[in-house]
Amino acid sequence: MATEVVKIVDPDNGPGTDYTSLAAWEAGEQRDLVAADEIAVAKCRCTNGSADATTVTIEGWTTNSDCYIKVWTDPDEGYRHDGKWNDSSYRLDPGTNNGLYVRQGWVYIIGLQIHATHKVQSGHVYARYPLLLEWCTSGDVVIDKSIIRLTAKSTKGYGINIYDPNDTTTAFKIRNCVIYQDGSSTGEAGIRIGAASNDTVEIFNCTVYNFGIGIFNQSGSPDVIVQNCAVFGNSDDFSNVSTIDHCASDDGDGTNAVVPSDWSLVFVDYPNGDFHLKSTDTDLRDAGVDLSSEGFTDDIDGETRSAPWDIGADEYVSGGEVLTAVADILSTSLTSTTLFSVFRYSSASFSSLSTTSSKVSSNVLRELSTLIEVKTSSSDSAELSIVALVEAVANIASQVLTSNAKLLVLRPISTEVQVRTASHVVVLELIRSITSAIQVTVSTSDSAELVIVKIGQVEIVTTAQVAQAALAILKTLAVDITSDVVAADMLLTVLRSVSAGIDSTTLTGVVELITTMGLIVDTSIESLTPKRVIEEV
Amino acid sequence: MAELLIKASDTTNPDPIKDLRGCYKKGDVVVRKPDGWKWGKEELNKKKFYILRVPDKGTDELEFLTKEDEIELGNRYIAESPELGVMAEGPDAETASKACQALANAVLKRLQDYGLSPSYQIVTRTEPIRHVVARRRHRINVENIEDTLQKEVVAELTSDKISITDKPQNITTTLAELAK
Repeated sequence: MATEVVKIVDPDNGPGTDYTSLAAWEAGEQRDLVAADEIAVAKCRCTNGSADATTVTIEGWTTNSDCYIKVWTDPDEGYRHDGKWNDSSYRLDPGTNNGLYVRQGWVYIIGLQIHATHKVQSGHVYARYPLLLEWCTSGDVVIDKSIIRLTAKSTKGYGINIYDPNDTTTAFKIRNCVIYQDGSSTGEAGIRIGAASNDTVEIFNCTVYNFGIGIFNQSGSPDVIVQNCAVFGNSDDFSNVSTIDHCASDDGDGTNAVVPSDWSLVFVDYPNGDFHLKSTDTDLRDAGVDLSSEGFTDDIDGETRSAPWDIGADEYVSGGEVLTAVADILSTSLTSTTLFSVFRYSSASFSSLSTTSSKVSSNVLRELSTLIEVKTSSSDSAELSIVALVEAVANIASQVLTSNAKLLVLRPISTEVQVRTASHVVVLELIRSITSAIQVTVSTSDSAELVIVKIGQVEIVTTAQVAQAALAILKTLAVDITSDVVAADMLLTVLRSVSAGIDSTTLTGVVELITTMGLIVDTSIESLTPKRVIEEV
Repeated sequence: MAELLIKASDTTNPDPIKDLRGCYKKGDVVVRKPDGWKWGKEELNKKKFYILRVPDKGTDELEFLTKEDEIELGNRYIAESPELGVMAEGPDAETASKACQALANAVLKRLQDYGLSPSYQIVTRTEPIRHVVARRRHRINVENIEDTLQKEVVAELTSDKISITDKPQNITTTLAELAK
């Protein structure tokens, strides 16, 4: 059994980051995985929502079916898209350069967002490609639960380009993906195949929208099998594809074809990239075929598919629809005061939805929180509103989510709320609100990081992270902890407050949260003086 | 100002073509970032990478350092009729156009069975056929500055102090010259 070697990729360099770009990960980890008997895993995050802006090429490794490459976003960490393009989730977006090249067999790409934009220079348009699968070595290349987005400015360019004119045997498997174009022109094709005849291409449960040709087998070989796909809004949905089965399109191509009369009744908001099925849809739901024998049983959101399968990347799940409906209602121009009330009211409703997964709840809460607009002023009432807001959302989050998910819910709020007149009372209230919602016990590993913080004659034993956070908070209040007696007292207060029932990972998240609220935080532990590390409590 | 993430050691592949095209070698620039970039733990690992700050050049000026060595193998010719939704490719414009016309005729014939005779046009265009040969065309000659790169978390050198080799041309010059 090969050993998984997991590295963290985070362009925001959050806690635990190994690489700040996927390109650097590929360069740093590239090796003979078979000789090492290892699986190379890149777990992608974006702790502050930044894009990974460097083109990536995966090539030169040695792999096999047991020792492979996996690039993914872990859905439990909350950095994966929610089934539609999300600018605060992990995304590979090198602007007017191509996105990701895979020139390797035994590669799994799961849960990524990849975007490319045509480049215009001196009046000439240069085609760009989000995803290129070319010159691959033998083995599987699996693209799963990913969103491939092309912004085209001409009739050139593909969403996915499969170009494999070599003597290897590669199985290209594209499943549960959304491939769409949102530029001023159409691009040439959503998926273009120019592979050698000894390859296989399977495209299952994908949604392809708004290209010149949806799926285009330009070389005529190999056999391209397309099942359970929704391919629509293209000049031509399919060209030269040998097997089209249980697919929905404008043209009614293939066997068991479905031709919806109005796509706006099928998808939640397809012109804006939301290809989730509406509760009112009757065309794509249950119109597909069970493909579990092909090695997958879930959809783009990670929801389990149920027989008969739906067509397209999304499998309709009723629980998610209920919560999405709540978000839709809330999005209609409510004032912030009303929203606070709704949040409080909603907390009971959310906890009663026993069938709702935490992932769905997290997504909806995130949507809710991004709807809030708070106009702050220097008045105390505005400051109190901010505290109330955080408290209200934290109350909801605490009922259904894990600690990591709670922080993800709270983080977008912080980007909306600009605290310009932070008094120490407000900051402490914020900390209490957040920490009271996140009940996590200190892990044993934290004890190894204990430090003594000494202020004057007072000593306190705590974790490095707690001390760091407390120091950062005080720095936001612009007090000098080395000389100010009041500051020393405040430090003790803060330390005692935040160290009660919170682990280092969560606390680091709290610091990040406070940082993103516009309060400048110096997280350098070295500025704590004097300090020493001790081995035991 | 720019900071460069540079490979500190070779990786290899037994297939020489894959090795050339896919594997990074010592001195290859992996990523360009603006000055002050907060690098991750593995990126700061001197066994894997060196980090070099170039104070007199911006990231855009150094784009060529992260380019693959790509050559053009001529053009492919594409003919299409957007009105009919057909497209064909050929080794020259005339062949592509004829192939597209044949497809258009078949579609038109069928449309006529339904009483339709739409007007259409066939447009031809060309696209370059590109081929990637090597992971990087340019390589920094790190041997001369390795002490500095090893010693400093982020070493700093002006572009006139950085030696670069253009591998296919086998020309060695300074970064200042190449980035003019």
